[in-house]
Amino acid sequence: MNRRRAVSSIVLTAVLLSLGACRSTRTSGNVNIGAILPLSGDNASFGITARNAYQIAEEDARQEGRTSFTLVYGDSKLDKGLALAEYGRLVNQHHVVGFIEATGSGIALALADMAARDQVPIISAVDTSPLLTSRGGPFFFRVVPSDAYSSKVLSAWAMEKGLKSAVLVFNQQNDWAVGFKNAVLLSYREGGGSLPDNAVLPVTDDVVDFNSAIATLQKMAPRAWFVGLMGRQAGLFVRQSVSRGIKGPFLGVDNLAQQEFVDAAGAGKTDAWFVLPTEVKSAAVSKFAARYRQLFQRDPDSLAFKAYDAYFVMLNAVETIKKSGQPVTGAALQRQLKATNFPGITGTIQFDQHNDLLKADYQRLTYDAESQKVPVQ
Amino acid sequence: MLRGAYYVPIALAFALVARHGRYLPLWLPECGMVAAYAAYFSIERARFPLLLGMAVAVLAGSLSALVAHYALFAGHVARSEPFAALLRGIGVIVLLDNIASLLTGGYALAFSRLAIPSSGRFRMVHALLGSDALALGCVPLLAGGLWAAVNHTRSGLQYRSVSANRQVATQYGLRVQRIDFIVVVMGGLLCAIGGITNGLRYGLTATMMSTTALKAVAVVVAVGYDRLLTVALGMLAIGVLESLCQARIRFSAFEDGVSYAALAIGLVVHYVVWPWWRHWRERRSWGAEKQLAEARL
Repeated sequence: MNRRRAVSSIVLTAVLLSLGACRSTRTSGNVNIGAILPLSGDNASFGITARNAYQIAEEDARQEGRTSFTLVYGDSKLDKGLALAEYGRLVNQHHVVGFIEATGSGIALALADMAARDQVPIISAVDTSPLLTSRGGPFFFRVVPSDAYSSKVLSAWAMEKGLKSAVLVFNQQNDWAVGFKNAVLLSYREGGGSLPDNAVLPVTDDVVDFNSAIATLQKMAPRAWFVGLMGRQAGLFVRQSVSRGIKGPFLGVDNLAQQEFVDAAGAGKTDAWFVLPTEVKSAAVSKFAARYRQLFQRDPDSLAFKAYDAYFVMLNAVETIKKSGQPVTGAALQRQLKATNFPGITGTIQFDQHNDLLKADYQRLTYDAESQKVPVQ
Repeated sequence: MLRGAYYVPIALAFALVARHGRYLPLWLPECGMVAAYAAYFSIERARFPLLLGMAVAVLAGSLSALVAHYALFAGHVARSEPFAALLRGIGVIVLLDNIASLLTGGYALAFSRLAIPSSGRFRMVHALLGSDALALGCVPLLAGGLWAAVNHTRSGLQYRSVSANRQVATQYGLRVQRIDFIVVVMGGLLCAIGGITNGLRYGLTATMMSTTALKAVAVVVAVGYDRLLTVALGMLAIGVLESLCQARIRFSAFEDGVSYAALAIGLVVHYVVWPWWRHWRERRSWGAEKQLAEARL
């Protein structure tokens, strides 16, 4: 019996050692890049959209014969605690030297100090909180414009249309929504709009019935409704408002461009006005969109395009460092990212002194009855 | 009150199964999620006729309750192990949520074919949708029907006997296994109704039942699982309180705390205020009797 147990132990040890050897062989010489995404749970659609875009980007890079990197995923479920644990796992066990996503402005804020300490740059295609401009630190970059900028464009649009009194509903448990609220309050009031504090209504993550909130805000007879809610929650808010006879307009940014918003808003989607970075009309964009539809039976949203660009921004940086013969480290990547001038499918990507996107043009959009985005003049 | 109406079927199912099994069946509301997703996939994706799709959904809800009960919880119920059952329940919730999330790529879904029109003759009053009328109509029907069935029928008596003491009920010749089956099917059925009406109004997500389940726990624990009508009224009251909270900008951020506040108040009333009140009344009546006796002497 003992002999059999000893043999089993030896075999098991040998198998474990060989597995370990396999792993180190696989990763040695490779550059590992991480992506901390919500791949399960209520917000999984963000992570899965980004992962789909990376899959297409990896295939495209392979077809072009470019040096690739190994992408290692961490599932955050959009929870700060889990994201910090996944960050630790990816940096310490997988030795990632950079991240092409850390979904969630709150998560990015939580990781900023650690990224600076470990000298691991993070690029994001989704984090738009204005707080990241001042608190993102030297290692946080984003290929998507800050809400400080998009809310200015949104407020200017509202003022231009004579919508001088507004109300705002936002999810106080969501860092993006809090950032959006602050940015809108600042820009709309600066533009001469009336948005008093008692017209700003906070709700929480689990709220799906907004009837009382709508009734309260309706009493103020607003001309415009700012929506600081995400996807399905925003859609339910708009649908329930429209069912009470409110015609909006409901103003937002990329939160109103999500498919979940369209599904949940029903007929109310045609009363949504939102601004998005201008989509570049090019063969590359059409090719990416067609490939995305073919592979995933769903239209790509703005996050998918931005995630695709984020992948290539990181790939360019890795390639440039490799070509120069230097080791690919986080610090080298950060220096290289600072100098980025990349013609992506969403436009030219360059970073300013705060590592924010240097330039962004916006388009004003709404939906038609067939859920297609249509420009508004 | 409308908002509370959407919670009622789930709370009734929860109370029914909790009383029977003597544990908190946290997993049970997930059968509502299973039913709602089954309705979505059969009606919206497979394009089944509406009635067939609904039948499939209700069947899926009840079947999932049966499978979960017999595979994971029946033994704990028989051996009176509430904590082990609670832990397994949490495992089932995580598993089902992840399966639903994987099936849909994490995206929230919404009914389009099944959606009850919100205009024309389906619109009862301003802002009251077809699904709202359905949810409101279900409250007296389900709460009243279940209360009558449990308290005023022979089967109800058997259910109460088994819930009170399984061993004694078995010795008296009651068919405990049959009652187990009926209770779990009823629980699954109620959750299926709750899941589908919720899905009609608020769309579908993998975690659509998590919050409702916790509210059901709060109310059932606070008022007691043997008071079905009070459970239904408690859920309606939670809905009213949440709406009142949301309507006040200062309090809107605390909307979700209402059910837990109700739980805390309910526990204090049940375990502190009520015993104290009874004790005080007994002492008072005892004192009065003593005084009366002394006066007679």
